[in-house]
Amino acid sequence: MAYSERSQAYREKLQNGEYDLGWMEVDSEWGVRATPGKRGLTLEDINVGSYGVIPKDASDSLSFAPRGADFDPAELPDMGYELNTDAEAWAQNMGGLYEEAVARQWSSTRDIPWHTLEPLSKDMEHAMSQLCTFLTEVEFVAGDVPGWWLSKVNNAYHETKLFMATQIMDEARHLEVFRKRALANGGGLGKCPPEVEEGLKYIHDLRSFPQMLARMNLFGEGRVLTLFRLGELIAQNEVEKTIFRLCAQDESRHLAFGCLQLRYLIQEDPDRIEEIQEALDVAEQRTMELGATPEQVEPFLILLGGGVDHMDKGKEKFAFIRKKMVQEYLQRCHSIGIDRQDRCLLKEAQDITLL
Amino acid sequence: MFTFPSLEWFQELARLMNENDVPYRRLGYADVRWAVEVQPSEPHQSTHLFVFLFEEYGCKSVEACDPDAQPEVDFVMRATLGTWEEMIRNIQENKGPDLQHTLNYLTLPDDPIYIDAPDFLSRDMFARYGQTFQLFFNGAIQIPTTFSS
Repeated sequence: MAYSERSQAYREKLQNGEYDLGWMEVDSEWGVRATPGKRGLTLEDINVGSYGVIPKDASDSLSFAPRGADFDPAELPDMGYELNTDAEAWAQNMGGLYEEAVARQWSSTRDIPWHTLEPLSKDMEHAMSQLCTFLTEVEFVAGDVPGWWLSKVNNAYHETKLFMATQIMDEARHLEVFRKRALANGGGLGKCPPEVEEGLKYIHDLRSFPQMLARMNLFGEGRVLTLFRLGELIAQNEVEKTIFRLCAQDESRHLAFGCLQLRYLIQEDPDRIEEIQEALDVAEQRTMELGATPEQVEPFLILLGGGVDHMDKGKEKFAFIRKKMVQEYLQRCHSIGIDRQDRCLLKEAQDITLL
Repeated sequence: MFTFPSLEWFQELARLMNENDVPYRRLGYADVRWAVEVQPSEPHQSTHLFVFLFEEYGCKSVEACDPDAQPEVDFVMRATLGTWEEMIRNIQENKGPDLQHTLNYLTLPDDPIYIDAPDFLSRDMFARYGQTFQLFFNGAIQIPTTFSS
């Protein structure tokens, strides 16, 4: 019976004062009573019985139907999901990471002590505003990319989709807070050089989910996390310190998401390692080609050194930070099962001893 | 008066956390098992190791451990007694750390505080809950402290 015919037949039934109630004869697990823990009823708490069984392969079901519901996939629309196996779209602790993200949200309006901002010297304000412009661009891509991929994840792996939604929210708040900082203290937005945009476009255009995770979460978010932690050194006031501290916490969660996903994929399907390595090859190459422009480098040198007259001092600190970024990146690669050091194109890699 | 380092000193820090959970709730929960190692600054001093279990918005347990034991933790914050003392004094004198004495600042270059972890992803938990740890140590403001020499 066509869908419209079924609907019409039911309308007639209703008009005759009859009800169906066939939907109560449901072929899913019934009588489930998930128990809330101390912090409430979490996603992991409701993974009980058949509802908690994560399918290895969900490619036979490409509809909006949620995991554990009663449905015939053949009757439902094909939404064209592309990430349909647990290896690609799921990892341990995704539910926990989602709950943590929800619990640790903050507000750029409420939680930053904006009223304490005081004017900076012109060079320092220029540097901070240019940095905030750059970070706003970065945060745009960091929200857009998971937004695109979210619609490719099979609904059987809803924990992953939910976490990605929090990441999009986090990145929205980050771009919001950096834009606010640029416009809050007598400065304004700075320049957007083509090299930065080209570098970000490459992430945007990737059409392999593991490659995107490798490029954006592992490589990119790792570098941004180091930058945010560095924020403690470059911040000129409590506003900036608070911004960087809170953003660093979020960034660390996104990094954990990408690393856990990649680690699980590598465990389940080691043949995909080369695909990930290739994404990192390009990421490193692009960083070398596009990562050194005055708009990207000089604001750091000014902020680290303490003004345009002390940029050489800033240079020394910046070199340390670059090395730290590479060290942490290689450590994370090692941790998820990728031996990267010998293949790494970044010059700092040669001087690094893995811990 | 509480002596640093001692189990009693850290228990007091945990009590302050558990009895003042409003700012921790604002930050969001943290589930993590971690440790503080206080290494000797002078040859006659000994090493101390304390293990903490954070669950939700509080510190569920604090234990003093044998420094030679290798407790199952996500990470250990390792520093000398002198470093811990300077950090705690700075927190107490300024009613919160100044820029050069935040946990993030002291750990970023891996020196003077080193975050040691069995796995780099668990090491990242230090950054993930960074403000929770900072708030925890800021409790030192309310602890009358003497430092063991």
